Amino acid sequence: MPDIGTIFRVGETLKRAIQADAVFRQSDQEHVDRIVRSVYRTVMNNRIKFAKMAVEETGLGRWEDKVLKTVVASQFVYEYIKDRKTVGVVSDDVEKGITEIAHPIGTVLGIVSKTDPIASAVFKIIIAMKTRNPIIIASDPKAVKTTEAVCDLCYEAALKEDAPEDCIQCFYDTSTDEFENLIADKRLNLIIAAGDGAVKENNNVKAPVIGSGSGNVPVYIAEDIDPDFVAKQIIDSKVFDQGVMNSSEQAVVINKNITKQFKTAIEKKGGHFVTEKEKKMLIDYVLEKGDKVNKDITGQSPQIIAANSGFKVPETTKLLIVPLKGVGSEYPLSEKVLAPLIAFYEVEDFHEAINVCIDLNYYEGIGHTVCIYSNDHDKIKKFAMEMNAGRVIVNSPSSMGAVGGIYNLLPPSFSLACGAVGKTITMDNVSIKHLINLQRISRRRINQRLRDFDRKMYIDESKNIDEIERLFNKNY
Amino acid sequence: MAVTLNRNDGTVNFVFEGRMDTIKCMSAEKDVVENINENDQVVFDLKEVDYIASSFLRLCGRASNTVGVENFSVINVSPSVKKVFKIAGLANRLNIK
Repeated sequence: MPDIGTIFRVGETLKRAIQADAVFRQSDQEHVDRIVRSVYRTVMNNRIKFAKMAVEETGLGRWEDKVLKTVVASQFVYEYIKDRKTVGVVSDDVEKGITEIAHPIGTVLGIVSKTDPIASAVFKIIIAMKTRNPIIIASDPKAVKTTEAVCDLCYEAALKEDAPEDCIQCFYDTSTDEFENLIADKRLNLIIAAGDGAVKENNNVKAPVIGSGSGNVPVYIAEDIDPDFVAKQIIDSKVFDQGVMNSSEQAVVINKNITKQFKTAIEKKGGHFVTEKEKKMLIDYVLEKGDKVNKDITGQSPQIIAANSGFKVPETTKLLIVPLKGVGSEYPLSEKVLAPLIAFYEVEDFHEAINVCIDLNYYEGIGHTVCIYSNDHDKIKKFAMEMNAGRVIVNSPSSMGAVGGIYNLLPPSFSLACGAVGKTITMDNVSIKHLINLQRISRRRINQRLRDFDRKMYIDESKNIDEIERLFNKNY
Repeated sequence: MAVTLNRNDGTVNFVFEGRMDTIKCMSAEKDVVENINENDQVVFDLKEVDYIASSFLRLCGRASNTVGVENFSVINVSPSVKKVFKIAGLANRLNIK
């Protein structure tokens, strides 16, 4: 039974958000755009301070990379949304007689993980402000200081442009019940979840949920591509922020006849293929806390991971590469590992490659992201059609490729939805369109064919579908 | 004064105008607090108001707490402002006309 203090704190937070919702609905587009601009500029001015604070507090990732993530979450997102209409009439089709009016959806709860406390919070705040929705940011217990600092500064920036009071609030767990009570409250209108299933698998949640899933990203390297180019892309991507992004590469699947070239290329760039002995030590360390991958490994450098496992790698090592023969619980390193460590599979041909990628994709990664390096368009399409993934990243780093805005024209987003299989209704990169309700004024436009059709035919048992169809489609 | 005040037989009528944003509400709050006491009937006339900030909702709460809910009313609200009271859950708790 939750205590009264807990209920009071959740209730008070929601009460404030609901009032902010009411007030926010009066804002016009110009006002909203001023608020968003103020928030984004404040974040950009504090990007380095926030990044260093996050690494210091969580001990995860690299501050330089967190800066880039913050830039994408603020500047790139701002550039993408700044000229889009999110208030009032957003489209008016005179011919069809349909006018679309954007309304806010109401109180949004944004869950923020410890691996992305800045970018994830900033992104959710900016899209919520653009769509006139108050947002409550729920911080991971291990990133409270950073998340709170981000929320506070964003809120101050919003208030400078006369945003509604309490339009941005930060919520963090002070007891085990609080978070559970918050996500189960029926007054929430939408939850934007983070990677794991804490929200999506909770049967008490009443609000609709969108947001990202777990991800276990396979990368298929076809034989028609330059292995040097691919090696650089994979190193850059998997090393980015020490591999903490759910969209980062988890396994390389490569044709045998280019393996040698690829190995040489990636070793030159800092890849270290572990020996059988090192692999055994690595698995022992990774599994020391049970059947699942030890989360202490998350966001750590290859040197620390190796040292904790009981072996050493040179300072120049950027990525640990683990050759594996299969996928599943018997091969613990085929599971998602948010660290600079990647599985490696050699295959005979495209057919075998697709099968391995399907195994990886369906091993806790469905709905998220897959990656392919090839110039063969048919192969790319065939690969995509076999994968259950919202994003198929081609010839680019998957970690930031999936986020959008850098290597492709996907909407920049730090909430990569995984579709119905991931317990959300969309597979999109979540953005402003998911945070508005579109109301449609539908003016009278009579269906011409129905008007000219003798409706009595519908209730005449002697008329079959062939005759009905012929007369319905008659065009004299 | 940020608001126009009419006092008549124990009824204090505050007439607000334009956009009641945070800054305007701060100065209006001072005028309201200084001019009401617990025996008054208080009326907020919003005929000329097209926007209210959160501070205005708080001001309504404060006025109704001072004189009692039964002695406080908000009148002449526009549809857009009425919606604010509705969504904020205050339309049933305060006397909004």
